[in-house]
Amino acid sequence: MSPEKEHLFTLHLEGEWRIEQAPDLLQQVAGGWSALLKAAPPPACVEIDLAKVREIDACGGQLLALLQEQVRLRGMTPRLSAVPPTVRERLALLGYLDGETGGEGGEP
Amino acid sequence: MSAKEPDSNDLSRFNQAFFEECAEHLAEMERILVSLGDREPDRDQWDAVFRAAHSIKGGAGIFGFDDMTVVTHALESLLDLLRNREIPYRTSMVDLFLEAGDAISMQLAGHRDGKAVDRQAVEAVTAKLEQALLRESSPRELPAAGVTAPAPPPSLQPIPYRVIFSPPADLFARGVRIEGLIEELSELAEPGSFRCRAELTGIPPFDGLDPERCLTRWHFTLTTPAGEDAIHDVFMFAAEEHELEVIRLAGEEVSPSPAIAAALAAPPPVTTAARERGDGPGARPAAEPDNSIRVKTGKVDQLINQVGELLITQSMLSQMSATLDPVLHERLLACVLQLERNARDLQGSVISMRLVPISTVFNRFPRMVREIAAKLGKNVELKLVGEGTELDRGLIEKIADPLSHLVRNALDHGMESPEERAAAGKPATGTLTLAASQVGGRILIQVSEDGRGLDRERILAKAAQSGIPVSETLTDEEVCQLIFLPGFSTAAQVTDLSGRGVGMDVVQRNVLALGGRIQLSSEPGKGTSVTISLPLTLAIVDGLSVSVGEERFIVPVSVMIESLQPSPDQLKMVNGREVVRVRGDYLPILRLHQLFAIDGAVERPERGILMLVAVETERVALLVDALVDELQVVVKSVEANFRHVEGSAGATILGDGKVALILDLSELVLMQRRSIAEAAQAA
Amino acid sequence: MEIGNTATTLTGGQHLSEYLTFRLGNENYGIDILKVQEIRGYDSVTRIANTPDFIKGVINLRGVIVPIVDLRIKFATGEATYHQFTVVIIMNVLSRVVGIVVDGVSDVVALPPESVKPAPELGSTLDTRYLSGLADHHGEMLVLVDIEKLIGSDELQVVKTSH
Repeated sequence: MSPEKEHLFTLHLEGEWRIEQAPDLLQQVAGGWSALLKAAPPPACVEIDLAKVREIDACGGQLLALLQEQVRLRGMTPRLSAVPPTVRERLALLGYLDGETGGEGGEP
Repeated sequence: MSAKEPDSNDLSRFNQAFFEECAEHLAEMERILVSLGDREPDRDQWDAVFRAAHSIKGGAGIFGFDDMTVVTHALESLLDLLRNREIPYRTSMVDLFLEAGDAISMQLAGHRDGKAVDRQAVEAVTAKLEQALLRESSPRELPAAGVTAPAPPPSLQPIPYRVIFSPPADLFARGVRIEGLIEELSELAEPGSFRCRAELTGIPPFDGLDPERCLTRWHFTLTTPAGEDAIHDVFMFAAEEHELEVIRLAGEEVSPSPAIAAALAAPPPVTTAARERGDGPGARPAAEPDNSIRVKTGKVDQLINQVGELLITQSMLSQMSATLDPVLHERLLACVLQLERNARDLQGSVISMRLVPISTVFNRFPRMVREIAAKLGKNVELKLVGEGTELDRGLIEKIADPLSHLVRNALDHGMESPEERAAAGKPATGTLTLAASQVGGRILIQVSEDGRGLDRERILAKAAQSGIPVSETLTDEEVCQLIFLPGFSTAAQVTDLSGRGVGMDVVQRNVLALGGRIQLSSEPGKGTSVTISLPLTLAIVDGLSVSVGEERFIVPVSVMIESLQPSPDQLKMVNGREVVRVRGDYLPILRLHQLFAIDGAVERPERGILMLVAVETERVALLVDALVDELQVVVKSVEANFRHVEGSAGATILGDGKVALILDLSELVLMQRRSIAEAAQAA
Repeated sequence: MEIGNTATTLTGGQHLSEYLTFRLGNENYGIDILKVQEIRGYDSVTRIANTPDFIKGVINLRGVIVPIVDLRIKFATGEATYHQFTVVIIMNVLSRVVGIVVDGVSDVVALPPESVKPAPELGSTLDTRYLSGLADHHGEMLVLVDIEKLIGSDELQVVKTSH
């Protein structure tokens, strides 16, 4: 089972991923999500591009984790890409990087 | 989307918890520091002071009160070095710490009540702390704010833990910076032993999702020598007890090599600190488990209210069942009796929830006495007795000021200078005793000293000088009462501590307002003692229900002296005012039916009952139709839904479900004076 | 009798405000039903001294002390008698619980906003200050009362005295 390069869908996220922006972030995610659901054929792998995410807090990290879980629930594999170092460091500290690889959600 | 309004409320509600805890930490710190005297603190005391400072800093950081973190950080750093004996202790440091505590208190008041903060003073204290730190620890550098973790006591073995934090849904919304907490936790851990995993507790669809709702549960594993308490401390302001689970791992997950395991089994290496403490880590008494929960006072009050309701229903039931044939309904009546007992027990338990030990007030006095005595050049030893005596939280807050006043008075007026004491053949150091005890349903608080005692002649002279009519025939007790008159002061010199005349009359008024009584006794050359008697709680009043016409009122038992049915020859008119003569005294008569415009009431005092009551410094006779019953009543607010009713201090609900006002005698006296003045004007 | 908080209903995307209607003399009045907590009979009122005659006193409402204002006396709409059918409307206004005595409760009506007209300067027993408008309901005029303004007014002396 190799999802690599079969069908790739990329979600670009941006801005300050902090609680103060929570409503906007939700809109951003929900917008991307509905576009993803309309993609035909359904992609096997979803790349979440964080290149333009400037900052992230626990609220933002949780939303990002939720997005990845939703992707997994639909049988697709999420993958974070272009994660800025500060964002990666923050996500790691908060424990939200654990599920990143998708390996945990796959078949044993 | 989530509304902003409730969030900010949540945040301020949470701030409140921090303010309360912060105040408690400051009080604890001060209590320990003041108790030291000239002794050097032991390790436990250092740890406790350090923990207090550390907790305040942590909380301030979480809630964004950055100004508070600066002072506490400097304080904490210095304390940390001291407790690890990396720098020498000097007695003068206590004053510096107390000063720092004051600065933090001021900042706290600034955030909590919007009071002005003297920034210069704060900066000065911070500078002093930092100087001390630099002076004493020249080789060490002041670590940057925010990254100091409490240095783990070197003698303890690292222990692996698993920590599970299940935060409430509003964690993000109330502004808790979880990142900071995790960072702080990671700093406790041995290098490389910290792991953090965020687990989503649910995966809701994005449609209708509240993005601020916290759906994360955190799992941490770490190995730390700092102990469980230190882990709990990290989450002190963010987590309720049940939200945090700390599990000590028995080396299963982090299994040490056989060599390490052997080392663990061997007695721990004794370090300097441990040796000086004279015991190993295992010998240290375990911290007393804190089996308490924080409950909002509003919730307790609600419970008291509901129990009050239950009591009213129960007494209605008793009244109704009293008409039943006791033989036919024996079992029912037994049940009603049982219910009454259960309800009373329940009421007692619920009221006890509002009770707090008086030590919360007493604790402020060691420092105050120390400072005042130093200022006055007097040697005083303070004794605290019965600090565990409990009374209503509401009373605690209100009794603090009158007590401070009494303590000041005792030090200023009662206590002699060391020379004077020596001349009188007394030990140079005087003793001031604060004692609390529970006697029946009341709390007695006594402030006594072994000073010079009241000078009868000087009081009489002073009273005469203030235009108070006195005579040489007054008993000693009556002379003592003069002290409570407005505008009375006996200090030969007016000092800046007691001031002039703002004294016992104010104290007495405050105590009376709490349903209390105050008594003074004194013996020349031996000392003076002031005793305050307070009800156990503000929520319940011992009262007499009285009838006036069709109406019922409650007279608090605390003001009652006696009641009598006067004979016609006891009744007189003096200056157009009705009075009753009781054992040589003429007391003005207050006609309740007149003040409250009640028809159909008894109008001739000899046909009704005169209740003699003490109102501040005077005594008056209240005319009512009859005494009905003596009972304990639950105090209810009238003002919650209505304006203030003059002459009343709240209301209660009687056994028949009707509302009865609780009388405020001070206000009734004022109403009487006004109506006399108005009548005089009209004439 | 308790009234559920079914205040606004959506019909065709339009908000209908619901009013509890009652009689004072021969006029019909309406108050926002969201402010009404319950309706009960008139019973065991404890008189409060030195208050105007329209303040009947206070009652014990499940442990809460609630003042009772007789609007019939306040607005002199006829003889104020008290019997088993006398109605008290318990309201939640200005974070207070207050009871008002009226001649009788009629109905709960839903009114579309456009049917509410501004109150005229004259023509009703209540001062225009306390009214939020007039509405026509099945050919009868309904005077809508701004109960917060009325209860909060100095004139009523519930919140504070007027002197």
